[in-house]
Amino acid sequence: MNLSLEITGLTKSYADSGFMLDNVSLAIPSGTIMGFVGENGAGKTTTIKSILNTVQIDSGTIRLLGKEMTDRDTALREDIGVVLDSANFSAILTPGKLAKVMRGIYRQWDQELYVRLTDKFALPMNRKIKEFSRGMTMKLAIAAAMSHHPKLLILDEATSGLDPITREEILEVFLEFVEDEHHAILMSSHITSDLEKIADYITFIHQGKIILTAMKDELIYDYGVARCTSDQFRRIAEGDRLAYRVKEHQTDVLVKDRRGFGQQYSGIMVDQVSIDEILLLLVKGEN
Amino acid sequence: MRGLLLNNYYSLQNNIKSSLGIALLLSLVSFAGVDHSVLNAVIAAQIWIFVLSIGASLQMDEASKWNRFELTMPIRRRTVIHAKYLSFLMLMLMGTAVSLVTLALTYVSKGDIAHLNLSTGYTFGLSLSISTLAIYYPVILKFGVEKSEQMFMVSVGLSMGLRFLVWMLLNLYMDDVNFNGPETGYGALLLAVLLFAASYVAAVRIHRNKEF
Repeated sequence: MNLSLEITGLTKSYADSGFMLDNVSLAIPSGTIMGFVGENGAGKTTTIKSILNTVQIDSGTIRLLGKEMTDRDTALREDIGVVLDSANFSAILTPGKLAKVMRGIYRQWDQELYVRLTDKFALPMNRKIKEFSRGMTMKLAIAAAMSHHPKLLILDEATSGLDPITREEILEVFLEFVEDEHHAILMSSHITSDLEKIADYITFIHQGKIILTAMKDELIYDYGVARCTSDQFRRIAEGDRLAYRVKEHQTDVLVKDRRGFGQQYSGIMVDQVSIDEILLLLVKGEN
Repeated sequence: MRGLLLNNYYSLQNNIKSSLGIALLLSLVSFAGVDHSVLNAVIAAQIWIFVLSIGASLQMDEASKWNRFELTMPIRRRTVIHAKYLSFLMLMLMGTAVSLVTLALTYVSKGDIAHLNLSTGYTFGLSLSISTLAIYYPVILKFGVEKSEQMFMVSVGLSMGLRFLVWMLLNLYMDDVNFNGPETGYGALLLAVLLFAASYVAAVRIHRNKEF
């Protein structure tokens, strides 16, 4: 299996805040989309900064398209498209001027594709970015990120703050992108419904540590949440529960094999679980 | 590199237009029949006015997080600094070019400018601009743009201090050296150029170790 991104044992600490990425490892196979989920301050952006070499890591290895990237590896960065959560570009630029800037930086810049994408997203070429809505700004960032034919897209909250229609348009573009089996996407997002639509894998991060990586289909179709009374909860073997959360009238237990659990523990109702609920149980629950 | 230079230019474009307008207005002073000391001051101001706007451009880049984004592109960190310093030089070149308008207008109004000694205006304007940027940019790069205006003023003050230092040093070895004289001007310009080179090296190092 070819890996577009492979992180092994990444650590990065900040002395001032005390925050630390602790032994983060993840891998994205080519042709897939990985959703990267976690609460605010969990370490998503720090992981992305580490991948992109904008911060200096303490230890670990990061391989992008099979290579460790240093400042000198400019050719490798031609193959990486990036959309950060901020505006990215100077507010006084227009999409037309931005294209001129990008053309002077990326050897692989494809003006025709850029025009096609900006047309598809209905972005006016002569209007300044400062006059754009957040949705338009993010669409422009995505158009720019894709117009130099990257093989790996790294998206940090690229769909946050956007309306459902705009998000749908953007998700379609991402799905088209990974139709090429050499392409891959790492997408951090708070909007787990987007990830449920397009991701192949989901990685959960909490307080700088990866707490779960699984295929999305497994999470949705195999994982479940058992709604237990306190007596039922006591019957469940420790090894059969991933996390649990005690509520006023019931205890929710995250289980890995919904059907198997149902057979083993008759009488306990097991529901399908959403990505949001898994995150909540992993972060707020106990093991 | 071309793309970075273009981006720097776009960030500065509005300020360049304002600076150009003011500098051209200053050129009209040459029609007023003023003496060469006023013309020197006009020329120095015309050069210096173009570097005044640099802080606004750096703030704009910081606000859009362009500084972080550009590191994800196929360019090296030192290329980013290279493009910045080239942009600084271009700004000063623009100021110098506009000052030639003042010379042209003076020639039109007076007919003869051969007798005018305008080296003070050029050396003062260039040395002040070069050393201000040389001090200002690495500090902003290291500590951020939050106190950009104050740092700019401090850099201007230090640049004036450097000129004063050159004048003091020259007075140790030469007689009757004038603060506004050509010896002090060329000395300060030489020091500013050396400072600019050192500033570039320092900025490359700061950027190499900076986290965005």
